[in-house]
Amino acid sequence: MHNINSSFINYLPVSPLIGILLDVVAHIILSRINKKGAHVGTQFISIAIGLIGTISFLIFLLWDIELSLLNKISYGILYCIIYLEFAFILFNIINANVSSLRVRMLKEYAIVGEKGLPDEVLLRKYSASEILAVRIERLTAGNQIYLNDNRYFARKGGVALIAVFFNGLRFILLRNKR
Amino acid sequence: MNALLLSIGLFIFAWITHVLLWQIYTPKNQSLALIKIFIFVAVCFILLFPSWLVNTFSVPLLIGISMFYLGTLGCYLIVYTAVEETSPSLAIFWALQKNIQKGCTSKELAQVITDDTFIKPRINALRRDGILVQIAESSGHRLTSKGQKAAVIANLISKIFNIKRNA
Repeated sequence: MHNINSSFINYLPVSPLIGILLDVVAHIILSRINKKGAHVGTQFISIAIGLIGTISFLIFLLWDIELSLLNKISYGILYCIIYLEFAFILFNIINANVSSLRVRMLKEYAIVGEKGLPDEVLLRKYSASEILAVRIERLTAGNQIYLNDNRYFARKGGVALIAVFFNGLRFILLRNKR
Repeated sequence: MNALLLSIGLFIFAWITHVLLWQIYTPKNQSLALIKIFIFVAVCFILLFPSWLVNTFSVPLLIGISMFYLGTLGCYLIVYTAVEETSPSLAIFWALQKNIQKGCTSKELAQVITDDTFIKPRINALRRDGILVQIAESSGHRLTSKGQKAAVIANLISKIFNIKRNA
């Protein structure tokens, strides 16, 4: 019995893979049930389903293995983090298809094919003023910024913290270059 | 516990190496350079401590450590794209944070997000990455074969995950 239980440890790397598979399947199904298609909400639900799958499989594998509780917890944390990393990558791949300017441009060029696209046409389609208007609308709707007396102000919260984080990272990495 | 600590420690070491190198020289294709640095650090570690790794960790744990390391690298590459190229939302936020007391009008924000700062650099980046090529004697571009493959993958992802529109 001990050998069988010990051999369960060999399957630990499979747990995040099961989780990400569940995440993908859940996303495919949910995005078809949801009339809006792919949506941040469906993505979070899919990630949660995958995480539950990963944790369940880890508990099944680690339950009877003769290891200290600390080791079991650290194994659990390691493989849960691996799942969350994979889920984060998938989340961003999907979101890049939804909103990344580069991916949108890529699709525009694919539509016109070999004849290509003049820069003026692309600049007209993706004008900076339109991008600004859409982003302001999105940030206002998301309660990240607000309008007061025809002037926009930043709120403290999610995007503000992300902006501070990236500002810090850019300072560390590129302070001599920009 | 050791596996978790080693995974995190190795990533931190690779990240510090990357920060130090960036102070001396910032490569043109930063993402590719990052992949090379992180793989180089991992390979060096394996070559320096092969017997310690084999004696300390079982094969499944070594696979786990590798998965963690590669997963962290993947996440960092995604995060790094926002360092390399600012998103319009972050640019708006930085402008507003600079003027935290008096805020910004739409006109002032329009000076932050222009074709020159957002659209053209992306066209240049696609060209630099070998995705686009300039059409001879024209100001236009078309996809290279690499770009066509990338577009096929992007469209496939859209179909699989039912992405209907670009918001």
